[in-house]
Amino acid sequence: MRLVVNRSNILHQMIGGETVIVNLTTGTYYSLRYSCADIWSLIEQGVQRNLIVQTLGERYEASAESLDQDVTRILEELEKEGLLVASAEDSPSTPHEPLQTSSDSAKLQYTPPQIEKFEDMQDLILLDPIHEVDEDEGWPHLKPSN
Amino acid sequence: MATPKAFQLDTALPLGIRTEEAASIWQDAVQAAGTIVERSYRIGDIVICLQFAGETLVPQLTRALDHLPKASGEAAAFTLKIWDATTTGTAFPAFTMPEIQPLGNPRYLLRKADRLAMFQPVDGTLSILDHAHDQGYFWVTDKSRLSYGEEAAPFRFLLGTWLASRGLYLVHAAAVGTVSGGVLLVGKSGSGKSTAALSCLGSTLGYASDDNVLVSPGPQPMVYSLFNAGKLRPDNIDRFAHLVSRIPAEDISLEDKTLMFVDEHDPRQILLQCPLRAILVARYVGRRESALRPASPVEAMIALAPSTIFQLPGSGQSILDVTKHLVEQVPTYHFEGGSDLATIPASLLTLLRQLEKPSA
Repeated sequence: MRLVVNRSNILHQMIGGETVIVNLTTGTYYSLRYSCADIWSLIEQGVQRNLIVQTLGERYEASAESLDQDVTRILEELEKEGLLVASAEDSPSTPHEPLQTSSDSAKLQYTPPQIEKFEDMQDLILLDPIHEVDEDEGWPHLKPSN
Repeated sequence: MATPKAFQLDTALPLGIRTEEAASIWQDAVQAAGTIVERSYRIGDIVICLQFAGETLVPQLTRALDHLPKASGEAAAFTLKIWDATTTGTAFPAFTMPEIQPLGNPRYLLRKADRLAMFQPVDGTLSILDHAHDQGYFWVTDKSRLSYGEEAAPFRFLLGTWLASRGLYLVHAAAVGTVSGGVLLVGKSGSGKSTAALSCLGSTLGYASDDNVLVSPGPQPMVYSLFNAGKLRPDNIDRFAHLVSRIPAEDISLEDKTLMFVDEHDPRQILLQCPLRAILVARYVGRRESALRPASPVEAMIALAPSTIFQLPGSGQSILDVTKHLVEQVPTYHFEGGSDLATIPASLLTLLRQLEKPSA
């Protein structure tokens, strides 16, 4: 089993090396920066956990131990937030895209990854929730994700 | 007058995609009303036509759109058919509550490849969009059920969804400027977007929106006004007394927002469209003077995209893509609106003049 992006409920967009994620179900949205955005990018490409740690180690000036702990922590947090779900699918066989590196290929200073979470839209979703109707069953049957 | 057929809800078939049945009910509504009242409007290069079965819903659902150039007699790219159940005698589908008990004002969205529908049982409205034929249907049980939000932004779901297919995206933002260029003011509710936009009334800046505006991406992003409604918070009534003076006393609320229509207040203040020059992340910090400082594109995107997505069901990934394009195309700033409202248009005008200067 591996963790994959929960595409049924979330939208995401990378901009300027940062990632914005919107959880359509909870009304919560997130900003991921630096190493956290890198972790997301690699997960999104189907990269396995150990390779994520290795790839970050090639990019950042940080010990393997701290990277391992941080990747574990972030994966747990992302799963807890409903942004990742467990999947039995195999990882893609194609190699992942390399992370952006500096022009002189020197390793970057490492800042432990943090998930910035915004909950100000939750009240809107609570007051005006959106329920998706099952398109095959029709009204009043809701999609299972509801 | 023939007795109109009742709409039979058949749960074996998906509600809302049976546009043939909606068309049939519409014909019954027109027959009952005895007339079709048409209003055609131009938004940029696009003509939309609203057809009402009778006069009943016209006053409430056209005030927010009446600032748009009229396009009577022109071929419409999109036609929206509108009627109410009470006046026309058409039955509204029975609503069976699902097992989960919904809170607040739930919206039930049903999507197919080329059509979709949204049912709001609390408001008593059903909106159906038939992409394949560029037409839509809006059905309300009774005009008394029309919400404040529906009057301020009529058919927002239908127009917002269809216009996106034509490259005009409805975003949660205020917009002010001149024909040479304007700004989007973005941010969560209470950040001061509406206050900033309304404070520009009476200045040389035009008003395109205080809450929902259309944008088109491209090498030069453009802003287009769709709704001319403005909303005054109770604590702003005194600050905007000059705007409130023309509103009937019974329409002024001390508990909820008061609705005003800028076109009725002063049509010269309306800004129909302009090039987008900057995106401003609004917030109120309590200082007297307004201030601007640079914001990162991602900060602007966070302030614009999520609220837009949640306000327009089904808008989804396209809004993230469009907002990314916008914040990468134009400069982005934090805008701290001052308590001295006169400083707001002054600072925005200064910014626009700086942005319109050719680079050295």
